[in-house]
Amino acid sequence: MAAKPERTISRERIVGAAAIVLVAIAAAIALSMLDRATQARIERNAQQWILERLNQLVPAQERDNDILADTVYARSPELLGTSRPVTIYRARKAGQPVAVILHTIAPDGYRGPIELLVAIDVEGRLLGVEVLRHQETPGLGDQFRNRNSDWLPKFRGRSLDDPPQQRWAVRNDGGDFDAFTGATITPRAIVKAVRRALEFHRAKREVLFAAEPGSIIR
Amino acid sequence: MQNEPQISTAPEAPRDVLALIALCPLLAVSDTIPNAFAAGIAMLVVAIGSTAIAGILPRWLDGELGFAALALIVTTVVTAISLATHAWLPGTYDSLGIFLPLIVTNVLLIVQATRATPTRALTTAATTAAFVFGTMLTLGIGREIVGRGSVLRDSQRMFGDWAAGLHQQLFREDMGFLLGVLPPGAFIALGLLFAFVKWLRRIKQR
Ligand SMILES: Cc1cc2nc3c(=O)[nH]c(=O)nc-3n(C[C@H](O)[C@H](O)[C@H](O)COP(=O)(O)O)c2cc1C
Repeated sequence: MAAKPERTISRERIVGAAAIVLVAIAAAIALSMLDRATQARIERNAQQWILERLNQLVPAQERDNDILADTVYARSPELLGTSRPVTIYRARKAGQPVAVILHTIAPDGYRGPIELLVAIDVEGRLLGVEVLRHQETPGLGDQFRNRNSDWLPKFRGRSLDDPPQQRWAVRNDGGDFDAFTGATITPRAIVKAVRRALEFHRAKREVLFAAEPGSIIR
Repeated sequence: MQNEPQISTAPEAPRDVLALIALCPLLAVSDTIPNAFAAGIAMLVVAIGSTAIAGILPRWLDGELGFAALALIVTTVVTAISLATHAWLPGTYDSLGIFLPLIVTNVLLIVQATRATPTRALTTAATTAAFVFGTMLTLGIGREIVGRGSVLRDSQRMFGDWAAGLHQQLFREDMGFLLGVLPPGAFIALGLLFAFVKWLRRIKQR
């Protein structure tokens, strides 16, 4: 190494860089304070949001446990549509099993995965299906919200034997469930995901209520 | 400072062109009136808030460094608003949450151009943002009517339960023109709006 190359960094540059660092530190402090102030509330909102939807499927008077705490997880990519653990909420009354609600995924929606809540009673009958989140095309894929708002309620009372397994599909595929006008992909994805949730339930019904809260069902 | 690299600043563009570019990231949320309104308000708050905070930066902090500082400030304000909305207006966050970060580019375009004159920065940022807000709202009205046949749909999700009665269905939703709701409809609607404004100007000139 010969002589050091001459430095041309000016004083102003150093002061400027220091100023940027100060701005960044101030921003970080402000944001972490706000994060701390909002965290609990955001968490509470999320719980409230999911509880409202769980209550629509299994009304509060039909259970007496803390459904948000009485959960187990299951990992079953083929049946539950995701490689991540799926939350299963358990409803009980006087210690007796009432229903499970699976937060399952229909992986093959038109524009990505559709998050579902599927409520199944101890007999393996559907109590209801709710769509939690989706990105389907407004006006086409989201008709279960408005134009066909009687579509999701039709799952109520169905089970793996009703209709028989080969008719657990949309009408275009020879099944018993209507598709939407101009949109078959979304209803097909939902019907398939609901059927698979029922299959999961049939395979695991013995362990669903016995498992410790917080444990993962395999 | 002959050997100092030339500091590149964006060329001065006319304000309406700039506002138009600034509008693009937000177009997707102009599909209903409440969405357009909320996105517009968020953008106004961020633009004015960021400009006000940037006003306390020392004057000598300009050029690239000034822009870096400004970018930090805008992203901080947007993150703060995002957190606050998530905590206190969860309904609004449900509809807007994923679009809020887009406001950063949006506001940087508006505020950057006004950095040069710090005294007038606030009013300039505010008027430009107000112009974007007005455009968003106009698009929201047009797209909701054309695409869904309604006005103020789902207002209660955005504004709270008192607003549930504001929703008016003008004609059956099935009759809605899907293109109005889909993202390309936003660009077509914007094009129509600008054609209309140009036409109005020409009429006035006569
Ligand atoms: C822009 C656009 C968006 C669409 N979005 C959906 C959608 O969200 N869900 C859906 O089921 N079909 C959607 N479709 C329609 C599907 O492409 C398909 O044509 C429709 O489901 C009919 O399927 P089929 O031919 O099997 O009956 C969309 C079509 C277009 C052009």
